[in-house]
Amino acid sequence: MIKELIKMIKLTVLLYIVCSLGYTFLIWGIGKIAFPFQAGGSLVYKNSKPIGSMLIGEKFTSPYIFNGRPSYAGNGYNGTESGGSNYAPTNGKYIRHEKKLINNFLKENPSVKKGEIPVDIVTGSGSGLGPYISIAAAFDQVPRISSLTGIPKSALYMLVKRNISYRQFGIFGTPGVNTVKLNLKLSLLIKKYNFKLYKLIFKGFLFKYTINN
Amino acid sequence: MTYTGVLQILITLATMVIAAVPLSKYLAHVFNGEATFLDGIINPVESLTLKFLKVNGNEETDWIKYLKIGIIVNFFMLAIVYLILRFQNFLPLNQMHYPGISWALDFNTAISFITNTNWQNYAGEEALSNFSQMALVFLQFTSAATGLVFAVAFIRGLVRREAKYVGNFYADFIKAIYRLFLPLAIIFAVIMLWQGVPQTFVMQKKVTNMTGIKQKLSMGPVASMVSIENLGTNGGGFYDANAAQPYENPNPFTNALTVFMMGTIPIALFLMYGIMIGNKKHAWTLFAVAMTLLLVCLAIVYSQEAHGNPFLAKLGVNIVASKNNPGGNMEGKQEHIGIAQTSLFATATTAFTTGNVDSAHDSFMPLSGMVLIAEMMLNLIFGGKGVGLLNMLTMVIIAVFIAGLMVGRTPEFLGKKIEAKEVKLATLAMFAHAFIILIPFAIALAVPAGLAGILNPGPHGLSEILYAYTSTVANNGSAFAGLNGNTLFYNISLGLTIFFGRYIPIICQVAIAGSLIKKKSIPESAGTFPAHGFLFYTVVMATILLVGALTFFPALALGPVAEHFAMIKGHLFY
Repeated sequence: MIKELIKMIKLTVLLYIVCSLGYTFLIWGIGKIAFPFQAGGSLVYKNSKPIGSMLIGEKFTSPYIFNGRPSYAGNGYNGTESGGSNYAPTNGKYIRHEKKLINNFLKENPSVKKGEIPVDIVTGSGSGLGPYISIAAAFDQVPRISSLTGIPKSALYMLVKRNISYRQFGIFGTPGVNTVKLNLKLSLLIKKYNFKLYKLIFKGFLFKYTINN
Repeated sequence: MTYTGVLQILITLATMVIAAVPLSKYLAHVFNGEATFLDGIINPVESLTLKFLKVNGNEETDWIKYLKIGIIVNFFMLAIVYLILRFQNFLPLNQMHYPGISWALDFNTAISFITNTNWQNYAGEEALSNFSQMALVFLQFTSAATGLVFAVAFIRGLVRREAKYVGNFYADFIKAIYRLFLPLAIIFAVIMLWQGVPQTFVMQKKVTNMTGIKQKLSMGPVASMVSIENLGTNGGGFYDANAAQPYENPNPFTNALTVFMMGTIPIALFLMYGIMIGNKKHAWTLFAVAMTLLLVCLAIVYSQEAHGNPFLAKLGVNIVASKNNPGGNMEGKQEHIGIAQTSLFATATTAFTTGNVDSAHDSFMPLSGMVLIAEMMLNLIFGGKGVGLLNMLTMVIIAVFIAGLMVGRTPEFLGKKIEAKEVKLATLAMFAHAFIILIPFAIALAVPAGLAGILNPGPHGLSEILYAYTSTVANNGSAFAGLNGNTLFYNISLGLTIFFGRYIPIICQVAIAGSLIKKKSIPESAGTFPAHGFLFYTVVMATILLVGALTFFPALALGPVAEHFAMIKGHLFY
């Protein structure tokens, strides 16, 4: 029996080394060599400083830029606390909460009619970190952004259209717009049309950036 | 429901079936000890490993010893991981200085991973060091291999006549890991990496967003975990939100690929069984039973989710899908992945008992939630590694027995007489599954500690608890995550249901194999009930539905069914 137990312990230790340590380090090595950008979390840099990830949504709540979906990750888009609202469709508290979100959206975007609010912009994603909004939700925000920034509507519509992520391989998924990508491009437009405002909106960033430098 | 939605679902499923056919042939060769194309590389490594273990791979044992070795090995693996998690603060790769996790949570987690359940009462990115996550990856390999080799032993019990031995546990186990899980895990980890899943030892990155807001990003060796967690139908993700976190599932293609990873091996195991017993028609009939159930479940979930929440429509939200608007029930779903892919993922993760989620199941419509629970109650729609096949065969034995009673003949199955002992064991396995779900569920409803965990009021709260016990007993691991499971009551009770839910049925099933292997084969006659074709399909399907419906319907009626009718009447719960 003791002989048998030794075999079992040897099997356990060997497989631990192979499947936990060996395997993980092998994939890590492949990532380092072949896919360094992805392996490092698809980070976006500005002036060689990481300012976020292409895959992780950010707390875009300012009315001057494209807003993302409500987030239940921590106090909103906290990358260390992924999670959805977990509200059931029949939960009365949830519906009351939705009423608030809907009214806010209508107030900020008066051009949107009741009955035509895109469903994704008033509901949270499963992790609270999804960067995508629907095309309709992006279009709906164009009039507001245009009137606040002075960028012509046509330029903004064009911006959204150019940044649509279509179905992958023409088949998989639903078309949408990545807000991280979209707002980065928007910041360039704002810089071009309204430099004063650009400094105002992104001042915090520039300020912190220079301090960190 | 849209045409493109249906199309992408069908393409994903078809690819899985097409890939399962060659994979099943390969697996049959592996476990029959025949030559395969990987022999050149793997034979030397494998024989070296067996030499190191001092195991003679050709020395077979009877079912009792096979089972005993398997379970004791499982225990050692559990112990190693328990210790690593408990003392992670003294171990490397813990940049965030997370403390060791509490004994109750550790008990729950270690049991959950060794049994292929991957129920998670912890939030990966907030509680575990990279070293601990890597230890869980180890169990994701070994628990999948354990389920697989027990299924192989069962099949040998059916195939062999008047024999005693079912195989060598060590040799089978090493084969499962070296020849199936490791090579596939490496390939898919690299594909996932390419698509954007991180693989780094940095645990957290602090960045300042373009608007000046500070954000923390959680990372780690995610790609290596994502591939094996799905290939092994384990399901415990790196992050609390599992595949809903974009780092685990960055785009619709990886979503489809994840479903592919989950489902292809379980489908291949059904077909491998057909090759090993030399009756492919029989295996394809069982495949048809499981596939029918999968498609029906999928149709219900997809139509419910695409229809959306009527309460939101009343508030002015457009829930009808159009060119620019996804429509449907988007609460807890990723926008780019969409309703169709998410419905496919949720149906697949509960069918293949993976438990990985790409959306908040708790926020699904009542009837979709019911289907997800029902799939885990049946636990045989292809099912997890090996276990799904075992459950299906258990149900077949009961079906054959009932059919035999109806025509007044001794039931036979694949040329062997099914007698009292096998039927008793099969019934025990089936009822154990139901009892271990329903009794703790009833207890949780009766004590304050159980009710304290509920998030959503009304019948949905009942569904949350029902989901938890069904998921743990079925070794699934997904959750109606509104339920707070990280309490002493739930850590212990769910830990126990995971444990008994895994080992009691598996012991009964391998015992059936041990009893069948001794039997003589009886020649087929005109009176033999064929184990394939439409009649057999109907008998098995009827048995599954009758047994499943009769056992679980009352619980489902109180939860999701009640919630559905309340919703139609416009009733909200506070």
